[in-house]
Amino acid sequence: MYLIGNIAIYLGIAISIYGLIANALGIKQKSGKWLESARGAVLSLAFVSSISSFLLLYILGTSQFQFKYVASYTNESLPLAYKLTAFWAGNAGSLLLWAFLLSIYTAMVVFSKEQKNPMMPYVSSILMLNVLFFFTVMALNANPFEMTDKIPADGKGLNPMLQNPGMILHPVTLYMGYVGLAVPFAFGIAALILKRMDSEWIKLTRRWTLLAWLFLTLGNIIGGWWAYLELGWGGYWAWDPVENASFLPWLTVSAFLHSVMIQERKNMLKTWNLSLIILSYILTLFGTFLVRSGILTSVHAFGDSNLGTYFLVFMAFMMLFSLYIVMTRYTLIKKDSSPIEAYFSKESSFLLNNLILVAAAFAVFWGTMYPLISETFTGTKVNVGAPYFDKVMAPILLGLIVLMGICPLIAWQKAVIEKFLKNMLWPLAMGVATAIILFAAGVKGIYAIVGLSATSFMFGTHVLEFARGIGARRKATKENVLKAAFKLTVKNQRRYGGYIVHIGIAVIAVGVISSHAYSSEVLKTLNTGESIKIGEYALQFNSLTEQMKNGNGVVVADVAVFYKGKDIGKIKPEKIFYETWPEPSTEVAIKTNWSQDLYVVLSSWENKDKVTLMVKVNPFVSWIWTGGIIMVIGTAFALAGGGPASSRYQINKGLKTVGR
Amino acid sequence: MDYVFLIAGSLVILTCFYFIVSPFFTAGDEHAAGVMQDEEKLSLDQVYGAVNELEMDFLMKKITAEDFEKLKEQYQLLAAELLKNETKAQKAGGSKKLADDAEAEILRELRKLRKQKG
Repeated sequence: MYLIGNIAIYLGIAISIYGLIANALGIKQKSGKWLESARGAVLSLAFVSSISSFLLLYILGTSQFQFKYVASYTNESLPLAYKLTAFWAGNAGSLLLWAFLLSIYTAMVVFSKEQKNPMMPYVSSILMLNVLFFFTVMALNANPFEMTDKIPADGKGLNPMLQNPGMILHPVTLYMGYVGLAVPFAFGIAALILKRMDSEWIKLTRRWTLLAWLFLTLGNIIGGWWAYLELGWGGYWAWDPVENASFLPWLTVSAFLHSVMIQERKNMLKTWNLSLIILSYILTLFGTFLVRSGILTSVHAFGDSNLGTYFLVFMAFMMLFSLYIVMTRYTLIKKDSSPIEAYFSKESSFLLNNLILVAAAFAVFWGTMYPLISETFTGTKVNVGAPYFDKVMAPILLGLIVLMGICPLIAWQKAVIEKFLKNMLWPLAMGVATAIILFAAGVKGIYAIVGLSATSFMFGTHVLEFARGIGARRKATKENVLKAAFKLTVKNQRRYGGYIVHIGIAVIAVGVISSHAYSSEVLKTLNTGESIKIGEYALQFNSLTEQMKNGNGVVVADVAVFYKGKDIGKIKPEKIFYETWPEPSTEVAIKTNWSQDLYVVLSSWENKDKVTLMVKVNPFVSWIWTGGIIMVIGTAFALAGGGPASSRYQINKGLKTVGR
Repeated sequence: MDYVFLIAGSLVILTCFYFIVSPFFTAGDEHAAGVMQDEEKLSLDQVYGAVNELEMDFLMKKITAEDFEKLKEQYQLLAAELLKNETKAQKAGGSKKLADDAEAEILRELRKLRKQKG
């Protein structure tokens, strides 16, 4: 096992280097044989990374504690599912997962139907350079197949916080998002190297980018859900540096997904798009640097190694390389790009949306890095914390929601302000009506009301867009409503998929705003039979019991719950004591309905008859998860259909080209 | 047992070696990269897609009737020119009758496309 694992890792390095050389020779000598051989190298990389990954899964699953990694992150009593997910619990396994995904993605790209595209040797070289980096770091610093000096009787076990279904999905989806961004980055750079200033690279990578964004969305949402269930502080997003690290590329890729439409349709924003995809890719490396280096304090427990230095060096190299390529082609890009023609147009509204998204990314970046910046200049590490992020991000995200309500109403061409204002009337009325209803219902908090009204306006715009689209189609085709709705969305999957994503964001916004503004909390010590009241809930503490579950000691509080005086069952918050872990883990008990979560944590206890419970009522948190699912459905819908956008800018300039 | 791993390790190396070396014995030495295209050509489908979207924008009251008519006409001219070029290329050196046939075909194609796409 040791032998094969190490052969696979060192072969990974050798093959990546060979692949780079073969591509270089193939390009230089215009030799098909060398280029084919480089493709063979890509296939070999996929092969060796698969072998090493399956091997790691095997030694984890069979508890082979002679391997340091297995002994560090698993133990005998760990359920098999968590033994296997320990694959990405530590640095070495995470690097291998990254290398594996990247190798598979590279093989998928290189053996796609675009395999004869002139950009492909460059694309595969850039991707293989990334693979080389990961295999090298594994060999030099974090080898998952390193042996222990003395075989321990049992392993250290997995951090209890990682023993959650979130562990199965959250890291993998995030990695798939991170790794996926390497593909459009590689195509963008390849296009620049070849001086291909058209939007072909964007069209070829549209699905890759969307897929990466889908995984980043999923990763962030699942991460929030996991934190909500596992950390026991009642929230889902704490602006932790590592959370921010995954949010940053999500913001820039969101901007990119919008601005590429302008390039495809109107031949604009070429430099901007290239910069965005380079930035997004660099941010994925930056995120990993933050997670692995431990330079910032985080709830994520990976940051205890010198891996960060490797990432910093590689990130700096890729950044300089990209900058060099962009700068040497800058005049060419500029020459070939069209300027924005009108201030009131779809493209300028998209540009504004991009600026807001990039401003949001900058604000998050600044807040995340501020402790380091302050330490550099003042010698003291100052954490800005959640208040900074809430204060700065709230208006930015509000602006974004408003813009999401406005943009769909602007026509792609010949936008007329009177028509736009007329179309905005109903959504606007919906927003105002929401504000009035909330005020009338006695809801407090002006900022939250503004946010909810803006969300309602945005939601109204999208409902109206669907309704108008169906109406327009019916007028033209005389189809019935259902058929018209079906055909409308299926024939414009990219547009309506995007609208579904926006609706998902509206649903999430309701959850985020409401849970921030209107959640309530009580921390109280109770004797047996005593109750706590919170909102319309009453909780009565019945008993505290100790039991064994999966070899771990569990302390369970039995609490009866009443809603508006009616018994709605029991809730059982727990503390689990793991043999292999010094700290007990908190298992939150949650009762959910459509409008609120009752969130109960067993904080502490003096004896069997006296416990301290933390109880929260979090309004509309379930809407966040629902909104996430809607976003995923919308993205999948947009992914499933739709070729490049219809081009329309050239009608006044003759018919030579499109979307360059 | 060690032999098994040794053999397995050797097999991994040999497989990779095969993937890398086999092209030198099988593939021809022509440049594997495809032909670089100078420009992306506008297709009739794309123009029709644009007209369709334009029509939707009009029916959804996002653009004025005047702008709609003007833009639609421009797109139709573009489509006609595209078809004409296509037909010309196919029947290079053809007579006037062929050109007239092309015109008639353009109109037919446009009508057919419009019907198909609803």
